[in-house]
Amino acid sequence: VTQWTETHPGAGDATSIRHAAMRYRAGADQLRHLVRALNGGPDQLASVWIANDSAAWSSNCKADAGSIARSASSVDEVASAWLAYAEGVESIATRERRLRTDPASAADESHTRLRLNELADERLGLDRLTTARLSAAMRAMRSRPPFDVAGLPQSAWSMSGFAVYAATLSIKDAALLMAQLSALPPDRVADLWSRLSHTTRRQLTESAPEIVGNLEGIPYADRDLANVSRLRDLQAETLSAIESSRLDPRLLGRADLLAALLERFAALTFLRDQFGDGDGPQADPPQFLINLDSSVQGPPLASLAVGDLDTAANATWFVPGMNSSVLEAEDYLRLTVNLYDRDPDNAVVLFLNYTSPGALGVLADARALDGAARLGEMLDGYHATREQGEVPARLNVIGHSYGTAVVALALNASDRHVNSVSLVASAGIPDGIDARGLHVDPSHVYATLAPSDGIARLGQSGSGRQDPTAQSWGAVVFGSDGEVLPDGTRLDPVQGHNAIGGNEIDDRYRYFGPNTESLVNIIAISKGEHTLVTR
Amino acid sequence: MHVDTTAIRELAYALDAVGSSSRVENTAISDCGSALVGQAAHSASRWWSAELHWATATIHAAAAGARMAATAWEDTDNAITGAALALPSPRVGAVAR
Repeated sequence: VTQWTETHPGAGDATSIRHAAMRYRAGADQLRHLVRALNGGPDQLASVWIANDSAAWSSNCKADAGSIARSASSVDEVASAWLAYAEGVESIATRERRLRTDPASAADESHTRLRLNELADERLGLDRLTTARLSAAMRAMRSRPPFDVAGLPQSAWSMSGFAVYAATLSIKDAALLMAQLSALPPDRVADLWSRLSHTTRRQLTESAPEIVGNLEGIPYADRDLANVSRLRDLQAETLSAIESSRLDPRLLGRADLLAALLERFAALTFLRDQFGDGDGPQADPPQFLINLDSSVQGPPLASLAVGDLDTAANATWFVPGMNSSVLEAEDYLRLTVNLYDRDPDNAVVLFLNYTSPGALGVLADARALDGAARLGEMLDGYHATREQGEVPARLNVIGHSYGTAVVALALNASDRHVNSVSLVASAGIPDGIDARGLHVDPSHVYATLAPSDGIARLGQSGSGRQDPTAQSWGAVVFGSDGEVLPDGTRLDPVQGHNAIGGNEIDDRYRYFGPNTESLVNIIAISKGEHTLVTR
Repeated sequence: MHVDTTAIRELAYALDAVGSSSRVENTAISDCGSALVGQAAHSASRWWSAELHWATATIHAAAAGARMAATAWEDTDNAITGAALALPSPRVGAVAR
């Protein structure tokens, strides 16, 4: 390459630069040809290939066509940069030639040197402008993988390529891919999962059900399938551990370990009875096991949904308080069904995905902090899943007793796009958080405490945490002490502290029992019917 | 669900043909008169080659996806047909009695 100098600022072959520019233009046309083929394919097959997989395939083709179209614009910009450069070099070379052939210039050497310096400055500016334009064009559109996963072959960087790559993996490699996907944020997971065919989703689910079942961003129906598929093996493993523990001399005197195993077995038995046949999604009301964490001792952590979260227009998370686990799920499920209100547009999640405290731990915040992190992840995941489905939905969160501390910490940590909050029978909200700190419209932050509920007050005073029904805290306080509605309907008062009873008869007069003022208000809040809430 | 696997295979073939017809033209500039711009020209040329390679790989992947789907549907269809053939038809059963 010739290097122009101050005495020869017009160096370079403008014709060669122009030819290169035209070849880039032709390249952009080639890319647009690919774009037309990718866009036309799905339209061509629309009438002959009608199935779920065709939607994923078509969407991948259109997404890839969009990426390639952006590359074509970038290549056009490179061509334009070269054309402008050729023109600039030509113009400088012409003026340099004129200067050299001009008799007046020959007579005045200092004038010639000055003019050449000016041309050299112009050339330097032109060089800088051209390199900046080229770098910007390349930076803007350089092909990238759709997500940051180490070791992904370049052929899998496009959406279509990723779908084919995932479909052809062995079980072991599919499990490795799922482990890598689990490090991505939920909106990326939601996007990528939607790109895969039904068959590939099934293959990935079979390869790593423990990841798919808990990975935020994956649709809840797929998560249910993954979690339910694990129940039989988990139960068998637990039974085997119980049997071998009885023969293990090292476990003599460790009644706590055996008790944890027995509780785990009982919890898994309940989950298998409830979900084992895989028909939960078809039941009335539909039920889904949307999270199952078996990494803890004792009962696994889990979340159970009543109603279809993938389609519901109104979703509610319920977070219970102390001594709650899958062992109490049968009672809590009645509560969840009461909240579901038999409306197919609703879905209610029973959040048993944290290790709740016992009577002593209830005064400390440690368990609430862990629960808040887990709840926050689930709420963010719900938001990502629904954004992917492009279906707007109301999101409501309810906490009972110690669960109110979990809710407050989760919503205080970040904006979870929540529409309403109900803090029921709070055992106290941690210091430094008030209604304005939950990232929710404060007029939709509610709290209630029944006059007969001494346990919640004991929790507040023992822990030193705040009462959210205090005026200074900033919540809208709703009634739970019974009410007669204008149409004569009598709503029951709440008696005591419990969210629900030990059986259907015992459920009456509980915060979430049928026909209590408390339950009716909470349902109205969740539906956004704020004017119906009684005080 | 309606699936015409022949049409899907034909489209996959057409997509592959479009991908295969794409070629990177030599974009080298023999003398641009500047070392700085010459370096940028070299990078742009390498980038363009990678870009077209990626774009054609993408269209081949789209074709492969369609082919895989067609094969899956044909396999399902064959399995259903096979299962149906394995069952005695009512007429055969009647003759046997």
